[in-house]
Amino acid sequence: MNRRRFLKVLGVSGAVAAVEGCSSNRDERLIPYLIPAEDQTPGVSSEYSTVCRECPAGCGMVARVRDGRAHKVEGNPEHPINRGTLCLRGQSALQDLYHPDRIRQPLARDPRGRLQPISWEEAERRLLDALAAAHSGRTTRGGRTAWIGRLETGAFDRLVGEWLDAVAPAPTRLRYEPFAYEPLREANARVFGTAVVPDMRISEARMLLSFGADFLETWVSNIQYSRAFSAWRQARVQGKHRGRYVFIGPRLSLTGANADQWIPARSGAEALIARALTAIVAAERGAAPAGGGAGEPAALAEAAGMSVEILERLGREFAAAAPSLAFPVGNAAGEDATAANEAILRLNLAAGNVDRTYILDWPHALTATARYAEIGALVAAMQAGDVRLLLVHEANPVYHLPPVLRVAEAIGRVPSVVSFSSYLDETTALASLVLPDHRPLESWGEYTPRPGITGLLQPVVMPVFDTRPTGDVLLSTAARLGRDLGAPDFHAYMRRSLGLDEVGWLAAVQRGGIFTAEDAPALDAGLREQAVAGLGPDALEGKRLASPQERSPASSETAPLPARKYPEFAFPQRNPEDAQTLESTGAPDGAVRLTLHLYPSLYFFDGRTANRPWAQEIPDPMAKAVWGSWAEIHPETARRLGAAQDDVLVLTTDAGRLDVPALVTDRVRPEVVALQLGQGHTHYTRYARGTGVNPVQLLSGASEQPSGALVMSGTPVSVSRSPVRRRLVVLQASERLVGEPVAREMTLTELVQTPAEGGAFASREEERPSFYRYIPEGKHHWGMAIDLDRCIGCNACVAACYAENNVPVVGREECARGHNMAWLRIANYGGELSAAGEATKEAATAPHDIRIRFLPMLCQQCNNAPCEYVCPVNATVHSKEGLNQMVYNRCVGTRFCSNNCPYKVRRFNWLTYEFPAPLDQQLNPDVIHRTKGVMEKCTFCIQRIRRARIDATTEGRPIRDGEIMTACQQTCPADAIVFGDLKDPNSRARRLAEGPRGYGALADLNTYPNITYMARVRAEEIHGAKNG
Amino acid sequence: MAYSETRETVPAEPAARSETPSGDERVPYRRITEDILGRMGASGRGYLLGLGAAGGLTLLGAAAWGYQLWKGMGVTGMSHPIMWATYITSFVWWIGVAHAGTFISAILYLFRAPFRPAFSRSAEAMTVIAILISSAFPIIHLGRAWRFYWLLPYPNQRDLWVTFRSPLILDVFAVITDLTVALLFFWLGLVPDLAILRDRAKGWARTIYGVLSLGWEGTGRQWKHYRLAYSLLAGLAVPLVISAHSIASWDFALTVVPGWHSTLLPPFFVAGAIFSGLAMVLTLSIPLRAWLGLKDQITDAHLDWIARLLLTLSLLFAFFRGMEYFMVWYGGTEIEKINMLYKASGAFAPWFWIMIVCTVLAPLAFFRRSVRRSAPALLAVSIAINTGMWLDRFIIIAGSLARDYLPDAWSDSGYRMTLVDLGILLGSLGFFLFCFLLFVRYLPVLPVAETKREYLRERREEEALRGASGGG
Repeated sequence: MNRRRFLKVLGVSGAVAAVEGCSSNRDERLIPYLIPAEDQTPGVSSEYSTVCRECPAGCGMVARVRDGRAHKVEGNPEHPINRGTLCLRGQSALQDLYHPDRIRQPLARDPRGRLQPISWEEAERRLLDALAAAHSGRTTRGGRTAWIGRLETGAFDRLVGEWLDAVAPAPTRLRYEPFAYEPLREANARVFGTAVVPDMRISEARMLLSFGADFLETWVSNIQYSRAFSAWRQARVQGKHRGRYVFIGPRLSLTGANADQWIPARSGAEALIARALTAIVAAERGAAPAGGGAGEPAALAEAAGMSVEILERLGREFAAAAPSLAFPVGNAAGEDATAANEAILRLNLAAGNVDRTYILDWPHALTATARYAEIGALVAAMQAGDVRLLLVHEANPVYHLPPVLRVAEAIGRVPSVVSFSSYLDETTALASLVLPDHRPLESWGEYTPRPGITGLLQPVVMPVFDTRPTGDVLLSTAARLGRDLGAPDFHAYMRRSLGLDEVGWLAAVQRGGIFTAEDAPALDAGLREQAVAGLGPDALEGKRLASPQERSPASSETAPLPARKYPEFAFPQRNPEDAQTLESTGAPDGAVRLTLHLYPSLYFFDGRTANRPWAQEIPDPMAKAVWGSWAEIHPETARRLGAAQDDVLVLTTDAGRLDVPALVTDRVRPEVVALQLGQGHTHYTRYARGTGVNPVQLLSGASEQPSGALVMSGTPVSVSRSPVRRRLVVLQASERLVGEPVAREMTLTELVQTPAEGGAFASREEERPSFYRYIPEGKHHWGMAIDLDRCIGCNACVAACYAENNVPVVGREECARGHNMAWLRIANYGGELSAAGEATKEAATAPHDIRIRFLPMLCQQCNNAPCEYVCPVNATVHSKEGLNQMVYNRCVGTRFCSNNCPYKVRRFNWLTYEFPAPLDQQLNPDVIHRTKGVMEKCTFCIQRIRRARIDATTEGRPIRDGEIMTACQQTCPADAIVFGDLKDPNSRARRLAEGPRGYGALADLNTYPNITYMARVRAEEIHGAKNG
Repeated sequence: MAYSETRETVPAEPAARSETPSGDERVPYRRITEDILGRMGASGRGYLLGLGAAGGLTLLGAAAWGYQLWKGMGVTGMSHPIMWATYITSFVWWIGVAHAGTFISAILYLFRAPFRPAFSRSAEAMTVIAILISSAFPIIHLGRAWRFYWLLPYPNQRDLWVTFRSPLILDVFAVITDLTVALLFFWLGLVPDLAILRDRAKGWARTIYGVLSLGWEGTGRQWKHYRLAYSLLAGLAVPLVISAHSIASWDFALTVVPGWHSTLLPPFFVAGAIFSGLAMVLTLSIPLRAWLGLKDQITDAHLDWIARLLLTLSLLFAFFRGMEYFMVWYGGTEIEKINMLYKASGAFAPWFWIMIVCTVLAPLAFFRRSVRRSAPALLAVSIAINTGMWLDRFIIIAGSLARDYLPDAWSDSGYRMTLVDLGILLGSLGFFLFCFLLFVRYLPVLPVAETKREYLRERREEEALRGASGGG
């Protein structure tokens, strides 16, 4: 597709025209237009809706584009999955678009084996040559071409299939996602006869139980569940229910930290606990245990290493709180994940939750992902030399799969490896031909995460580099081979495939998709049929709900793509004796045998976003560490190892060895060592390469039965301390609560007893005597209400703040020196579950009430600001509307303001921090780029206030409540942050601030902050009481 | 140290002593001028080596500052939340050192302390140099040092004014006032001596000394006015001893930072300043005495006086320190307790305990007369006090910042000095030494007229005593 044609296509789409600007030959002009596009006003951002493709959740996204450059992405308010919010990964899509280490043009191996730039003409010719070579020769045997691509739906998915069928006889194709939910699909198939990834309707549950599913982080659709969870908590605070949320698992994840109670169960005990609970629930509800897994609760509890009394209380509570909801096990599951999930499903069945909170017939697109067995089969075929051409699109199996599978070696045996990747990742490094795809923000596309929700992607900027959409490449190569796939380019193909008329198409692109299903409850029967049908027959075989006890023998055959019959891949089997093997094969002295627990990262997902500077620089919500990996061990274990924080631990299994610094925390069980997935790349850009470790190196590659999923947790690992220390950069020094804590909590009972007027915390301005009136005299008084009960600690707001306010990324070394520049941080208080002296094994395995509070800390815009009077040059002053304004070009850098800021939210430009090109194109033109030697801090997104004021003035109306949204508020999936005018008695911010839970942080210092925090509310266990 | 107690180090006319009629071992009255002025113009290999070393250190500091200006403040060890460290410490410490000069010039003058002339000139020189250095530190410390003049309330087109409420602006005024008064005092004290130098000098030196001596002729009328002006200036300078360092302490006391926010700080800082300044006077005088052979002018008795003062001040200082901890306990604010305990047991603990030994325990040795009379012991203790006082400021400034109200923003590993911080600190010491060596070469290290007056006063007292006993 040439440029003229591209513009023509854009012209057709009229109102959604993407903009000309950063053309691939790298024009560096301040104003990229010679003749501006009609819908562009210089200095005003245009918004283009598209879809976030950072994970399979498929949230809707809006890109703000100014003068041809995308400077901010936000959630699409129209999209039913995320409703305008976005997580950190989504925010970082901009750094994907403008990544300095993107592959900038097609590459091919030269005779000396190095990747050299070639032209697209040459590149497509080589692809055709590779196709021809793969299928030349005497044999007509199929399976010589294989495609590994990420999960796609709709037009692109269909195009890949049609193209493969057109150009290669009997190709293999895998929709490859490292987190494929195989145990869950298998369990659903076994219990309900339908192998789907289900939906969870948190809103209607009266009690939540998670057996490890990190539904606020990486599990299926984290934004959707974060929104629902936050609304559920809100309903609880409003007295609509008293449901508790209990988290069960060997490690307290971020999702667990949002629970009311953590039961630190042994790794692998989930099935036993679920069975015991099922028995109790069934007995409570006067029904026979719902098949399988029945047993004496006491025996099961003992096997699970738990007190039966705790389980009985929990079971009774769960049964009483109908409908309740039990989430399955997490993504990186252990050996009996299917059995555990099956037991959990039966628990949901026994409690009457299926179809009420546990929704089977609104399946997620993840249902169609490839199984580990299929991947293994492909690897075996490659190893056997059966595969002649491997095409890799947005997948990185070499990184994700354990090295013991020898994937790299297998790929090395494939004569032609073609990668469509934008980055030189571990798999692409083995490619013979690289045909870089556009990034999602440059592409047309569609994605349907659930039936009835089809998001549309449109290019929001001109391609940054000389890349080409893979869809176009496929169509063009097919055309050259004389196969007409019905469209000249992918845009046309997609439009044809969607079958919309002109008006419908324009409306859909403008809206960001076709949303016939708002949410699962909104689906009426007919629409649901239609929606399910729309997903395609392959995705949902056996979609009708089978009777619960009925097992469908065909249920495991739901994989939609015809599986090639390759020789069986010999999966490594876990040797039951390997406990002894480890010890006999020279595990180092002083080694301790622990259980490995892996978990996916909220920031890096499976590792695909590890190349984003923001994801590396923003501290992990629980560990608060940046730029690296760590091994979480319990203080008790640390004592046994003689290890302290930062001591490098040597983790050894039969498969491999890792050296990783220790993080001592009582948020794991004593016999567990927990590691995060997603780091430790050997390639994949300057930011990811060499940062942290990749724990899949420890995996044996064994598969879980009966689902066949890769076992990622629960396996033994030998841990010893090495004499080396490697400092883990942790950006939070302490979680201690001092005095009257700045992050407060109350119990639900206390909240009920608090009068609605006046509040629980006496920190109101009028209650403190003063000569002065600290109420801004202007027309408005900007303020904010932050609800700690809603905040889930996901740090999406921090990423949004980095993007909106041009906050520089300083790198590991500078972070280690305390030079991190974040204007907004999510402090993590009350996380120490037990006092230092009592971190014993008994204490560590007993249920903990969770007192963790996430405290978003940003400039409090104090009306009596300590920073203002100490500045000698008036560089920080108070506005008439209550803003504490930082005048960068007046600042001389005494740093006195930071010293005197009790909230420590001011940041100093220690050095000149760089935005390596083209990352600088992301910079928000509304916000100054600060130079070395000046102080900076949160401005309450003053540029957004100005914009709203200009709009209101132009339209001759007052500024509406809710019209101004700060970047952090805008992206918050939990709706925890509300900005508004405190002079308006009806503004949402003011009403919230005046509520019973409101208090000012450190208000006893007489700072008169403009931010009101609302205390977190913890639901206590109520013995014998009925919830609801 | 070249100094040796046993060595006789009065090179100038050793025979002179035998000539004294009274058998007194002191230089005779008529030779005082020669004795003092003869020690000027120091030169020789040792002197030049010292001057070169001091100059080299100064250049090192300048280079470090240049690098810091070029790269940004990130090359120092400062971080979030320890945004102030060695530079502000050095500022406070140098201005404290300077205070002893004003104290000796003004308060000891008004009280007619007999040992004052022995130290006044070098203390005043020290004051001027120390204020110059201390005024440089807040500028070195600025993130954008090239904009330092924005701290001055100068009229400008943009109508931008300074924040008069800011303690840093008060500092600007305090330092400028201090410098002005110190310079005037130094100069005024020098005028009669400068006139002597003018009368003896030739060529361009005569012109320079002539201009500086303001046409001094030593007439009775001039002396009368001179004495009056000097007393008045001394009276005016007395409040400065209190005010200037109180204002420096407001940089901390007027904030909300735990460990800083205390009404105790002004007297604590003033006492500490005089304490460290007097120690500095000893640190300078003892080698000077040995080197220039001024044992007759700076006698062991004089040193004893200073040591007694130091002992008093150290007890006062220890009292204030105790009060600081008492207030923390009595105030009952948890964060203040954490802050205090952190300073004594956290990353700053080694420095804290060195500080306690140097400033609280070491001066207790002065209870022994033998220590007060032993120059090496005095020198060792005075250097310990100087070091300890620098550390004291450092712990108050940087240590307190490490434990602010929000534990999540506490400092993880304290403050780590970099080569740039160290280079600038050493550079400031080098510059001080460089200037002081120049002072020793070009100006008399003792006030001629004052010394003579003191000599005569003592003689009169002796005679009065003798007359009284004779008459009886």
